[in-house]
Amino acid sequence: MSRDRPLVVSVAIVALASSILAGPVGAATDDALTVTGQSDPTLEIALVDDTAAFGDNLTPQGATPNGADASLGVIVDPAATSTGACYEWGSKIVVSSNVAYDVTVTPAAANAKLNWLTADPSTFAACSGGTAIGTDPIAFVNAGSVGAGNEHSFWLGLEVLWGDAPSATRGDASLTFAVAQDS
Amino acid sequence: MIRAGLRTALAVALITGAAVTAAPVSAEVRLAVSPSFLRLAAPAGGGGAVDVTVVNTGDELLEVGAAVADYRVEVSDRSARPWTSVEPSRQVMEPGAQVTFRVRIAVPRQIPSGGRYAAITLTTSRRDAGGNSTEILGSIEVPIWLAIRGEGPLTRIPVLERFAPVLEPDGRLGARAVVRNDGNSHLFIAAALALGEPGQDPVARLVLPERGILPGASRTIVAETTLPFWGPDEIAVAARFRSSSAGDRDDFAPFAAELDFSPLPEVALGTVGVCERLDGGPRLTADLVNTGGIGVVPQVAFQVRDAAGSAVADGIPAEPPVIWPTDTTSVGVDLPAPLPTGAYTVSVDASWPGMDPLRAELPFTIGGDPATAAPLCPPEG
Repeated sequence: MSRDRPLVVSVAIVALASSILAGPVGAATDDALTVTGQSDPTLEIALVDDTAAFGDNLTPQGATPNGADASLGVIVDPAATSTGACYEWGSKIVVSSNVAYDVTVTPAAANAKLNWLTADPSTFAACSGGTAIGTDPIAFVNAGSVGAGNEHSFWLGLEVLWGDAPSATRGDASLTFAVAQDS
Repeated sequence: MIRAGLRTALAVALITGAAVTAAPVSAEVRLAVSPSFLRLAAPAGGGGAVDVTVVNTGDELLEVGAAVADYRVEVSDRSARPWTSVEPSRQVMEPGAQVTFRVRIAVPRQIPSGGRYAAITLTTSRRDAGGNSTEILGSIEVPIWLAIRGEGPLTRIPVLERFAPVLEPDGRLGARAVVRNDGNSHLFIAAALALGEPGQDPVARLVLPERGILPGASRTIVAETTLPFWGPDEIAVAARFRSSSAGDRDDFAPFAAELDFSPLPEVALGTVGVCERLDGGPRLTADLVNTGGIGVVPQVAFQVRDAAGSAVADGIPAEPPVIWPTDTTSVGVDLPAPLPTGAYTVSVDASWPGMDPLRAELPFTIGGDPATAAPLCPPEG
């Protein structure tokens, strides 16, 4: 480090424990279930769009599909047109919570052609990068802020490569956005 | 890059009369739940019911399914799932409708005291999204933290593993604590910190907000706010930890710590490493050594350059690393794509506002002479 101030000896007594046996929890003396904690934790999730429709006629040239969401975009790398196209779809969830929260995304099944992205892809490499949809949960939001209307954007990139067999179901998937409050 | 939104193309198709298949109807789904966290207590052999209210705050018809699930894997041996039920299992909700799900818990007799855990999941239903599409479902998980008074004592034992003022990435002074729970039930803990110079009145205060800690777990608690770094020669911190005041009535004796810290971060870059992974690009690592008196959260960046000096890959750790005083922390990134055979140099930069950045470099090769080639990464776990 460049700071040339003298090092002051620090006292680092950081091992401290307090061990106690808790008394009875709650006021009940019978067999009742007792609410012991804060009484008003509240949580809301909004899925701005519940379907990513990729439509028909997805081609490695990047053709305009039929029946797709209007917001769907397509990216082809002009330096490597022989690779194929990547169709990108973006949306967001909105969370309101009076306690910090986490969000995980759980796929119902793997789809190696579909990629999970947390930034708007501007290149074919970015669109086809990210995390391929597998079967493991994806950590999306960690310790989201307390407040109303917290927006969390995400994107899906669907690869359509020249080496891929034609398919009318390559975009099929199911993603569950699960939000839980922290303690 | 060729990048085109399809909105225009679809509009042109409509204008020119070309056949266009109708897009599936997308909908915004909104779901609110209260209470969204259940902190409960019951004796062995006892039980009861708690209602969870769900509101369809959107403008679409909504079907919500309810189920009982295990809570986090770290308390999988303390599951309350077998004793927990929720009814009904499904509710159809008009826009604006409010419904109640009843959560019942029946605690067995003759079980040891301690925390038990489960969760209620409230999930929007699947619907026919049409072909070649991805359905987006929403789920709210309502944790259940249940303290049971049964055989033996119910214990909550907080152990302060680490505590220090920390120079945060924005150059401001914060504080962090790592608290472990050695008890058999969850605990809630918070702290008020008074900062000043030794022997003088405090000049600033910080709060470590209340956080719950599961039995057997450790948790890092980060101060809610930060302070401008006012340049003292030494920082005295009086920390007063207390249990939850939110009605748990599970008070343990508050404990306090009076600690003095050197405010100087003394951080050096230690060993830089590269290894190859079988399922991706190389793993880049660096050790950060803090011999100073306060913690540091530096911004760390890796870059790989080829033999011509051109950058071929960059990476930053997913989470900014915390380098505790008198500690060494290893940080790293996994490059997504393998590198072609050849010679490279990896550089790592660590920086903080107002301080000179640190840099270290390591030449390596992919393939070639085993003496300089990046080795295979050791198996994880």
